[in-house]
Parts: sequence; structure tokens; C-alpha cells
Amino acid sequence: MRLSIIFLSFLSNFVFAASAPNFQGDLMDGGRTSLKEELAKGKPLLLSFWATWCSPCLDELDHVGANLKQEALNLSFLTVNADTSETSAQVKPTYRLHKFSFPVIQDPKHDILNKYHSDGTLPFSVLISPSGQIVETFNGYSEGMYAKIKNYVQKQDQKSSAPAKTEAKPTEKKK
Amino acid sequence: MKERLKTSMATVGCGLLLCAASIQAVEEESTGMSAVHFTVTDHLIFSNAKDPVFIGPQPVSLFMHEDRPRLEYDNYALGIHFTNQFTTNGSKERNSPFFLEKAYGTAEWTNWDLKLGDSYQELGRGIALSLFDNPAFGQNNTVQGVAARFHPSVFDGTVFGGRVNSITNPVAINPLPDPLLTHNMYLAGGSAKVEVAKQSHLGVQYVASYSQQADTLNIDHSWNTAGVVASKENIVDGLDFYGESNLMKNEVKLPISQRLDDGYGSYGSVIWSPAPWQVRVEGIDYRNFNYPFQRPPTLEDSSVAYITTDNESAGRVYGEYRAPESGASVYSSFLGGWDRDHLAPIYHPILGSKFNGPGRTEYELKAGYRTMAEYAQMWHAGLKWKIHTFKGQAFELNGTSINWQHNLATVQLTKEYRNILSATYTFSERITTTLGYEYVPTNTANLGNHFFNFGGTYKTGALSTKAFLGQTSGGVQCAGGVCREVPPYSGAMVETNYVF
Repeated sequence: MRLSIIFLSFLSNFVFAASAPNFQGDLMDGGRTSLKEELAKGKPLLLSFWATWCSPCLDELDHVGANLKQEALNLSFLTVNADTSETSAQVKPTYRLHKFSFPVIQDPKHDILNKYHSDGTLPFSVLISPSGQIVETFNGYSEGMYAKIKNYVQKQDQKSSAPAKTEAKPTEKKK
Repeated sequence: MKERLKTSMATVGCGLLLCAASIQAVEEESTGMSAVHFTVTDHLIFSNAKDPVFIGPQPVSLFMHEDRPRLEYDNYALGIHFTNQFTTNGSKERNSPFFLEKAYGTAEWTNWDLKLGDSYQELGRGIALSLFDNPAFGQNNTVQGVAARFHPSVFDGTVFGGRVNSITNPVAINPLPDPLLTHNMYLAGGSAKVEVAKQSHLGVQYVASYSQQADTLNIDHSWNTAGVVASKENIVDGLDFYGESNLMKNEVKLPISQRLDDGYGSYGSVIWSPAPWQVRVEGIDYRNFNYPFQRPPTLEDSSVAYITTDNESAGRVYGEYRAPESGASVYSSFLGGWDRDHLAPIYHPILGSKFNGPGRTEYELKAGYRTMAEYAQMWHAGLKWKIHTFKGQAFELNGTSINWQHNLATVQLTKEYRNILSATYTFSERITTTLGYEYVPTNTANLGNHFFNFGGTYKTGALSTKAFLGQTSGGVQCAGGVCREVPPYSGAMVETNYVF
């Protein structure tokens, strides 16, 4: 009986599709944003979770941020900072030191992080389609991450710019 | 009484949600998204090792699982967090087929949020109150009640109240003990922050807490804490200030009513960060600030455990230079403080650097020395060397050495030398493997001096799997701002995380 309950609880997880959990948050430079507001721009969204004490996180942001500046992909980039009150004083100085220029939501209580990634390991990034579906998640930093994101974004651009098909009109019979 | 309280809270909560929904007019443009979302984050650990809680001579097979399903519709969400735990040969008290750990409903609009059920709460920098989730140590404390937040452009106010709900079956190796085994804790409080000028904020905060004995239901301890917060960003270009001060009234009610000394908890920081430089000056002043649910700044480096935070004053200066082109950095910090419990000064200088070497190599170095008069001395050093081999592959060597001598708890000097070396190879973004070796020459023969372990991770899409086999010597482990001493581990473990 116990095993059945455990097994069913576990198995039930495989039934449902992966849609991105909704969130709202305060931006570091003032104002607020939400998943809906970001997706309303009509672009895929790259959501990256990071912390100042996480060295691979900073490497990832340096790498992705620099590439996005150079290539101007049709992509929204939003980061969520997971520094708790212990290290939150370091967030802005680290941001300035690395010359980051992307928006940051501060999530010291991990309200947003827990929706996406319950074990809390960083870095963690999620690529979300314009319709709010999770396309891919990136657990840890890897060099191939940006190439995958770019590949997806370019495919999306091709789909949206492909000419619409028209129905063939019946040819008139020659007299 | 608990059942009636839960039912009452649920009824009040539903009523509030309905009222709120009818008052607030929701106007949103359609984004083409489905309005209904269902997500699940799943976490599982299977371990075969000696049970650290129900200690016995033989390894125990333990299956620990937790799920966090969440249903969202528009601005509303419902979620639960449940755990399953099962053992084949361990203590029967470990068996828990299904336990509902947390449950919540939320409503979020532009200017305000409402939460019913379990929510995480924190005041200021966590000195007065911090209820948080730290999965590495199995800590997950929430307020089970009501919380509301109102945040138009220049004002941010929060109120909350309820019972502290700590997790019963944490999915973690060596979790922290449940702080509420013999007691219930009730609290109510809030904070208000106003933007008085551009990027300048003033705020107040308050929390009242009561500890109740679980068997007799008598209140045996109370805390009342009030505080003020001030912050100013960009005083001049890149210069920020933050200050917080709290006063705590501390009263023991049983077995006899007794007012304890007032507690004071303050933190301040001045940070100047015009790239490529960063200079931080921080200070803490904690006097008799002993509260069970807090996570205050300690100013200590993450590689070493702090000794005490409820009766200590300290200041730290941190400086860093980061070369814009290469990304190489060098940093240094110095902490000086006074421990009031031991009446001893504390000094802790640290030096570190991160830079790229020839041949696609990366280096990270850090070394420090912490001294607390005749009570404790600690040398610590760390080295990370990484080389990128083939495309998408890398080899990484991590070494840490801690040499700690102290007589904080005993007259006799305790020596602890811990040396940890691990080699990790990344085959691809999906697969890594790690070989680890720990040498602890100060351990007695029965504890062992040499510890070998092997592990690997596999990641694909939303799934992450880790496997571990071998032994660790335990010692100080820090994660998410919390440091603690963990016991040794010897066995096998598999851990998975999945997001649906």
C-alpha cells in the first residue's frame, strides 16, 4: 500500500506538460515585472537564476550577456538574483563590477526560484517560448548553452517570417 | 484546536480571496498564453548509509521524495508540497507514506499580493526574522496563516500572522533537526517602507512571537522585536548605503516569569562600486540577540563557519579589482570584531584571486587566517584549477585545506586538520564525473583518516540526476548563507530533480 502511494505520487508527475510558472517580482533598479509582461513582448524569454557567491553563475552571465550584446537576438533576457539577506549587499556592486546591463529581479526569499527549481542549485536557466511553454532548462553553466539558445531563437524567427500558404484556386476550364 | 484553527483560517481565507477578486478589476491584454498552468517540481533521494537521525550499526536504505505541484489560473495560484519517505530496514519511525508539508493559495495583482497558507517571510536583512527554504540542510520554515503585501510606487507594506510550520520529512542527507519538535511557535508582524526621496527609503518593522509547549499548550517564551531601516542608493555615482537596527524584548514565561536582557541587532553597509573597483565596508552589532528564526549577516567568509552571531560586534572591509578585458580579479578582505561571550577579539584577513592562465586554463585561489585570541585559530586555503580540453569538455581540480585549533567548548585544545581534493571531468553539458579524496590526519583511528568517493551527474532538459558512492569526512558545510557541522557520510546515494 505504501509503495503504491509513493509510486503513484511519483508517476503522476509524468502526466502533465511543462508550462512556465507565473511570477512577479521587484526589479533591482525599480519597478516590477512579471512573466506575462515579459512574454507580451512576443519573444522567447531566457530566465537565468544566479547569485553573487556562485562563480559559474557569473561566468554564464558574462558569456551570455556579452554574446547577446553583440548579436542582438530576438530574445528577452531576464535574470533572477537568488542572494539571500546574508549576501544581498553584494548584488549591486557585483552587477556594476561585471558591467552587466540586463534586468534583475531580486528574489531573496526564493519565491520565484522555488517555482522553477526546488533543489536550489545554481546556475539554472530556463528558455521559455512566447506562448509560455518551457522549451529547455540549463542546469549548470556550459559553453554550448548559448549556441542552443541561438539555434532555437533563429528557428522561431524563421517560423514567424515564413510566407503564409494560400489555397490553390480551381483552374477555369478552357472553352 | 489545530483542526478548528485550520478550518477557520481556510474559511476566512476563501472569503478574503473572493472579496479581493471582486474589488480588484483585472485588465490584461491577452498574450496568447493559456490562462491555466500546472507545474510540478519533483525531488528524490535514495540513500544507503548509516542513518544520522536513528543511529544504528548497519547502513539503512532510505527513499525520500517530495513534490511541489502548483496550479495557476490568471493571477491566482494553489499549491501544495508533500513528502513520501520509506525505508526497508531502518527505524519504522522513518516510514511516512504521505505527508502534506505545505499548502498555499496566492493572489497577485499589480499593487498587492495576498497569500493564504504557507509563505516565507523575512524582515530587513534577516536579523529580526527569517523564515526560508534551505534544501541543502533540509530547512524549510514558513508562516502558516495569512500574509498580505501592498506595494504601489513609493510604499511597500507587508503584514503576516500565523503559526511557524517547519518541514517534517526533509529530503536531505544530514538535515538539521526540527526546531519545533516540542513546541509550537506563533507570530505576527509586518513592515512598512516609504521612498522619501529618489532611491532613498525609510522603513519600520515589527514582529511578536510566542512559543507554546506542545504537550501542555502553555506559552513559555515571548519575543517582541521592533526595528528601523534606512537605505540610499547612488549617494554619489556607485555609492550605496544600508542601515538597520532592531530592539528585542525577550521574556521567559515558564517555569517562572523572567525578563531577560534586551537584545540589540544592527547591521550597516557602505558600498562603493565604480567598475573595475568594488569597496565594501560592513558592520554588525549583535547583543543578546538570540532568536530561533533568523539568518542575520555574519560578515564571515563562506568557507568557514561562524562561531556565534547573537553576541558579537564586527566590521569588515572588502576590496576587489576586476580587469575589464580579461575578467581577472584580485580581492582582499579584513574582518575585525569582538566576541562578547568569550570576551575575545576576532581577526580574519583573506586574500584571493581569479584569473585565466595559458592554454585555456582557469585559476581560483584563496587563503585566510582567522584568530580569536587563545580560543581559536584557523588557517584555510583553497585552489581551483580548470582546463578546457576538447570541445565542451573540461577537467577541474579542487583543493581545500582547513587547519583549525580551538578550545571553545572544552579546556583541552581540539585540533582539526581537513584536506579535501576532488577531480571532476565534464564530458559534455549533460555528463560530469567526480573523484574525491579527503585526508583528515587528526581523526582517531575508528573514524578513519582517508576517505574516498566517486560521483557523477547527468542532466538533460528538465531532469538532473546525481549519484554518489563512498565516504566523506563531514565537517563544516556552508550553503545559502547557513554553515553547520555535518557528520561523516559513508554509503551510496542517488538524487534526481525534475521540473514539469
